[in-house]
Amino acid sequence: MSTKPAVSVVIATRDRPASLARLLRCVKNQDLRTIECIVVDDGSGDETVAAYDAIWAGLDERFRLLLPAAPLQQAGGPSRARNRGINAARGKFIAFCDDDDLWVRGDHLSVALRSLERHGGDLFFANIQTSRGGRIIGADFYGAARKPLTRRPLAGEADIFEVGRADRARAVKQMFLHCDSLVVSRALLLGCGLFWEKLSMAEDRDLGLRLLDRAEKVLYRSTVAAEYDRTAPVGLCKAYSEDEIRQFVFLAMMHAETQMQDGALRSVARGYRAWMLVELAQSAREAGRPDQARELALQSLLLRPTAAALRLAFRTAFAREPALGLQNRAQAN
Amino acid sequence: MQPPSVSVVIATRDRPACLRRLLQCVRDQDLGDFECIVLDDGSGPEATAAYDEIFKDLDARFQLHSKAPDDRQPGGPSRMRNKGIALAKGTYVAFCDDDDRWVRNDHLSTAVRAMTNHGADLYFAAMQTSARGKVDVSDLYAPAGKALQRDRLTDEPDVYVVSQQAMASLLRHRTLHTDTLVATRKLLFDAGLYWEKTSLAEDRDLSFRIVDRAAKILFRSTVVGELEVSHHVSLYRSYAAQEKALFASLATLHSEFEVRSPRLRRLARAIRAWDLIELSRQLLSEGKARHAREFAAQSFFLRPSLGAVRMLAGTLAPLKSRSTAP
Repeated sequence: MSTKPAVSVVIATRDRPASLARLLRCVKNQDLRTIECIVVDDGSGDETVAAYDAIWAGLDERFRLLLPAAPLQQAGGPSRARNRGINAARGKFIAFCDDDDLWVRGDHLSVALRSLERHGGDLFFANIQTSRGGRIIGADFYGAARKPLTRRPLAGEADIFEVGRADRARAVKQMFLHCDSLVVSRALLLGCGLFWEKLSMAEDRDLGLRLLDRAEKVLYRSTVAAEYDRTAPVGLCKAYSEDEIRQFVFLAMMHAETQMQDGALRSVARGYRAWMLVELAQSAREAGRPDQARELALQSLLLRPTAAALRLAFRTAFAREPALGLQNRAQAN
Repeated sequence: MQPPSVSVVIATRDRPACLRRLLQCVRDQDLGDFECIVLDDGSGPEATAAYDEIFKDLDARFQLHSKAPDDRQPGGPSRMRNKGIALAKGTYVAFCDDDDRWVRNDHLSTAVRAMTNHGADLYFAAMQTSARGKVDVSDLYAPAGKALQRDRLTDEPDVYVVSQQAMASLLRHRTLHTDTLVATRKLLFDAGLYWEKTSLAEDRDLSFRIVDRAAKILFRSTVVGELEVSHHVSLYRSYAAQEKALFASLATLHSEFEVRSPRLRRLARAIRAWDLIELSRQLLSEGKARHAREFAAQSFFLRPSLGAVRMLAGTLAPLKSRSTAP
């Protein structure tokens, strides 16, 4: 085996050979050569597994494929797959990218490694652009949090900033830490308990918060290095309804809240939960269930007061529950 | 061929001995007009080899549905049971967990007769628990026994009509266990079936939703189901205490969002508030007093209770002692 890689790239994938091939080309074209790339297959179908041979024909020995331990093993979810990759990784730093997304710069890993080493950082992330169907629909994913993210420029760096402790909570209030441009020290990942394997939805939001809580020094690169492809052919997300996603984000935030030391970050997690309750309340209201909308809006207010929750509570305060509620009450009697 | 009046749905994985025992209970029922749908959730080769032997002794009413070899979707009891319900042809659907059993052979006949005669869409019977072959708790639903047995049917010695209010008092203490559950297929579909996104507390979530939608609920006070508690489900075991509290809370939020009855929603909130107290207690025992206090306060705001107040007070004590320490 060759020398120890500086960065391990961990990619979990399932049944997306074309986009995986696209991403692996990006990894191969990185100007940093001392890397390993660990692709963890989370139970793809036979056709996909057959396609891997052709994909790997264009790659060198730095690229490893971890297939499910047992051939018929069922999918364990993205969290478990990524954790498996992290456990197999040998690099001091670990980079992630979702299998349907890509890196748009060849210096993503080299800049990450150089700045992490030079400034003693343990968490690095770069700006991201979003696209749909090949068209760029957002050029500045972290734009809403630009102020807290770029308050502290680092000496001798054109586009790298240190994100101080107080600014982390301010920043994640506006956005969540996306996996696509994340480079983290392995020690930090292990220290905060890796991805929560019980979650297959919003697991990256949970980990993102826990990483920001534990990290010694967080670095942000304002130049766009990754592209978040929102074309979403048949993602896991599609199997979840909007309301289910809200409930799972609520769970993920609650989990992060039990784990984090930083009170300001816990408060951000609580804020997200309150917001999910507002969205659930709106959804109940749209479905003609004002009583329920009011109850959820009140819960949200008591968890964390917001103008939106207050407005919703007022709007539903005097509304009457229509037919279905009455019918139910009649049946109960 | 006439569709059977009741379909028994059983999800199983790697428990051939238990499954054999349960299928014998089903075969020995004094009602002949049923189909039994067994769904295997990807058992290992040992269990699948045992199935040949087991099904050899059973007739055509028993069907085994194995997972397709290229199906690598995550399984789980919810998804398996939903598949079974989709395959079922009976007016009624009965369930039992693969490691549990029925201790009476008139379970299905009583359920079908009472439900048909009285136009009920949900039926359940009393349960006992057993550990290592000995009865542990003789009446699992005893905490709500009185509320459940107020309105007896005139033509059945041990079957009662149960109001939604009485069901709420049962759900306050116990989950409506799947082992003795018989529901119309229509009710299960109306309630939205099992929630496939979670594998924990999914039965409690379904209890809320079917009780919410049911037009008429019957309860049989004679013990019919036996819940095996000596070896716990491995899936459940793989969750840490804190994860259980978190996922229970998720399932109950789902119930609260889905049910129409204000009473059941209040109950769901109360249960979530208890889960938050439980989380708070766990965090305090890990020495995280500040976390514990935040969760106790959340519990209090979700639903004020003495337990939350006590918990809040408990989380203040360690903070004080730390601030007075030199």
